Amino acid sequence: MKYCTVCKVNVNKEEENCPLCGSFLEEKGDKPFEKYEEIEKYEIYPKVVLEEKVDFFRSRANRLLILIMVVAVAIDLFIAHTITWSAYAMCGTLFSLFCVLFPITRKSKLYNQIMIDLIIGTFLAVMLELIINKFTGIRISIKWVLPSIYLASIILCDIMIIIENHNKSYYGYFSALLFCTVFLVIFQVLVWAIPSFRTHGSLYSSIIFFASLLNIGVMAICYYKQVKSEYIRKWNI
Amino acid sequence: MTKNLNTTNEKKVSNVDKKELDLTNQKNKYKTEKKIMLQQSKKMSKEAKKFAKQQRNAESKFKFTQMQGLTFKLAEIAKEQTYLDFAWHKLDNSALIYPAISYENNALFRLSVTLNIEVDPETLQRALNDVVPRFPTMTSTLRAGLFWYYLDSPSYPVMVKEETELPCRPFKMDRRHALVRVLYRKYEIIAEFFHATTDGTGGLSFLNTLVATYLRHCGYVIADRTNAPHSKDLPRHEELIDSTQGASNDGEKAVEHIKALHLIGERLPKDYVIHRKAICDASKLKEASKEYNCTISQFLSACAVASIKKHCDLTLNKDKKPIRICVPCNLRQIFGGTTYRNFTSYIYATYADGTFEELIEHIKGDFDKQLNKEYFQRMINYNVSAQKHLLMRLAPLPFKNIALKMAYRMFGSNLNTYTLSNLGLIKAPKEFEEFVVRYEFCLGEIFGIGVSTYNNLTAITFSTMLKDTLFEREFVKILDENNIPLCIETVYGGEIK
Repeated sequence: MKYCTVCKVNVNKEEENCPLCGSFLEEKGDKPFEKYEEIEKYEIYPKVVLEEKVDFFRSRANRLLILIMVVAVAIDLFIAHTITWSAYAMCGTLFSLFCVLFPITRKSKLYNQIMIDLIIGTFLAVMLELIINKFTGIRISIKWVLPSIYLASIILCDIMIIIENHNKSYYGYFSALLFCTVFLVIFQVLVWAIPSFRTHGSLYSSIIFFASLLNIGVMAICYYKQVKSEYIRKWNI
Repeated sequence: MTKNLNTTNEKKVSNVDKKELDLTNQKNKYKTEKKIMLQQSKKMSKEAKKFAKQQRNAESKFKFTQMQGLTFKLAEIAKEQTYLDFAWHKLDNSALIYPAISYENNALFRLSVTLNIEVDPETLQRALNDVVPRFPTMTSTLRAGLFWYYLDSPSYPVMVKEETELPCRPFKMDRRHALVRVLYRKYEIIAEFFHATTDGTGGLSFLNTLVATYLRHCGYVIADRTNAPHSKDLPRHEELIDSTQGASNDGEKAVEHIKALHLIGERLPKDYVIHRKAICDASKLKEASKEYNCTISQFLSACAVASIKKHCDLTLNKDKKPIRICVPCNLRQIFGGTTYRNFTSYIYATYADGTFEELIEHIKGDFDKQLNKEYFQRMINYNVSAQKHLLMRLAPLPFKNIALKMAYRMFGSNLNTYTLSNLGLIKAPKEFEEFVVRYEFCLGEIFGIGVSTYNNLTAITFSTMLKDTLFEREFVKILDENNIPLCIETVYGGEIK
C-alpha cells in the first residue's frame, strides 16, 4: 500500500501517481489500514486508456455521400438550370445511404431491411420517374416497377420463412411479409381508386395483388400457432 | 624596419588565419560529428523502434492467439446453454423508461466479487450455463413490440469475457445479446446488468448464485442458500412479477418535480464514465455515523452534499438550483415481495447551510419526511397511473420513446445532482466467508456513488464523467477528518487519446 502526502490517503500499491490529485506516491504512510493490506494482493486491475474512436463508415462516409449529392445537384442547377443527370446521382446516393451503408454500420436484420428497402424503393422509383417526366406524372412505376419491387420482397420473405423455419428469426420475416402485403394492398387500392392512376394500372399488378393475398393466407394457416404467440408479444398493450 | 614590421604583420595575420582555420576546422569537425551522432541516434532509434514494434507485435500475436483459443473454448461451452423457450416478459413499471433513455444515460449497474482463489474462465462459463435458466428475466434481451418493449430470450448465449475495457460500457440493444455481461479478472467475477431487467437486489442474487455455482463446480460445498438460490431451482412466479403493479392502489398520487443543480467541468468522451474507489473500514464508518447519531446512508449523503457544495465553490458554479442527492430505496423491505425485477423508489437528500453536524441533522429530517410507506405509495400510484393511461397505452412505441425521452430530460436527470445507492451489508451464503474478499457495487450513471459492505470492508465507488477529481477529493477528505481509514483504487490509466 502506498501513500499520497497531498490527499493524505492510502493508495493501492499498483498505482504510481495518486488517482485523485496525480502526485507521486510515497512507499509508506502514517495511516495504517491493516485489513486492506491483507487483501491488497487480490486487487489487480488492467490499466485502461480512454480512446475516442471515430468510425469512418458511421460518420464521415455518410456525410461525404450527402456532400457529393448536394454538389451534384448544385452543379446541375448551375449549368442546366434543371435537375437532370443529378437526379440519378441523388437517387443512387440515397439508395447507398439507406439501403447499403446504414444496414452495414447498424448491423440490421434482413427482415427489418426488407421493410425499409420497400419504403425507400417506392419513394426513389416515384421520385426518379417524376423528375425524368418533369413532374407530369408516373406511368412505368405504377405499371411495372413498384409491383415488381413488392413481388420481389414478398418472394424473399417467403423463402426466408421456409429457410429459417427452425430459427427464431422467422417471426421477423413473417412480420416483414405482413408489412409487404399491406403495402401492396394499399398501393393497389390507390391504383383502383385514383382515376389518373387507374389508366396506368395493369393486369400484372392485379395478379400480384391477388397472389399476395393468397400467399399470406396460406402462410398464416401453415404457421398459425407460432405466429399467434409472436403477435401476442408484439401487440401487447 | 618596414620589412620587419611587414613580416611581424604577416606573422600576426597568418596566426589569426591559422586560428580562424582551426576554429572553422573545429566547427566542421563538430558539425560532422554531430551529423554522425544524429544519424547514429536516428539509426538506433529506428532500430529500437523496429525492435519494440516487433516485440509488441509478437506479444500481441501471442496474446491474440491465446485469447482466440480461450474464446473458442468458451464459445463451445456456451453452446450448451439453455433458455426457457417462448418465455417472454413485459417490462416492469420502473423499467419502462430505461430503453428510451439508454442512449443518453448508461442505465446499467455493476456488481463484482473479489475471491481469494484465481478465477478459471472455463469453469465460470459452465457455472453461467447453469445459472442462465434460473434467472430468465435478467438473462433476456430487449425487443420492441408495437406498443411496448418486452423481454425475450436472446439468440446468442451469454458468454464470460476477460475485462479489458472501462467498467459500465453501454449495452448493444440488438436483440441478439442478453442484457447481462459476465466478466472476470484474475481474482474477480463481475456482472453488469441493464437496469430494465433488474435492480441491485436482484442483481446481487444473480451474482451470489453464479459465485456459489462456480465454487460448487470447483469442488467446494456451498450448502447455505442465503440470497443465493440454487442454480437448478425452477424460477418462481413471484420472482418474475412486477411488484410495483401489485403495490399500487387508487389512493393519492404525487411526485415532486424540483430541478436540481448540476456539476460543471470538462467532460470525458461520450459514454465514458470513470470509476474511482475508496475502500474503507466498515466498523470505523459505523462508529463515525454513530457519533453523529445517524445511519451510514445519511452520513454518506451528508459527505456527498458537502463535497458537491465545495465543488461548486471551487468551480465558480453560479447555478442557484438546490443540491439534491437521489437515494434509491429497496421497496421489498416496505411492501414485501421477493421479485427479481425492479422494485425501487427514490428519496432525496438536500443541502442546507451550516456546519457538518447541522447538515447531517437537515438530511436526517429529509430522510424522516420521505422514508415512509405513504410517500412511496404516492410515487407508485403516480407511476402506475401514468403507465395505465389510455393515451399512453395506445401510442405506438416510437411516439412513446419520444415522450419518455422528453419526460426524462424534464423530470428525470434534472431532478438530482448525484445518485447515492447503498446496498448495505451484503447477505451471502456463510461459506462465502472462506472465499470472498469483498463485494463492489458500481453505478453506470454519469454522477453516482455505489456503496456495499462485506467482510468489514465498505467499498465506495464514485462514477463520474468529469475529468476533475474535486468531488472525490473532498469526499475522501471528510472521511479522513472523521478518522476512517481508507485506500483509493482506480482502473483508469489516466490517458485520453
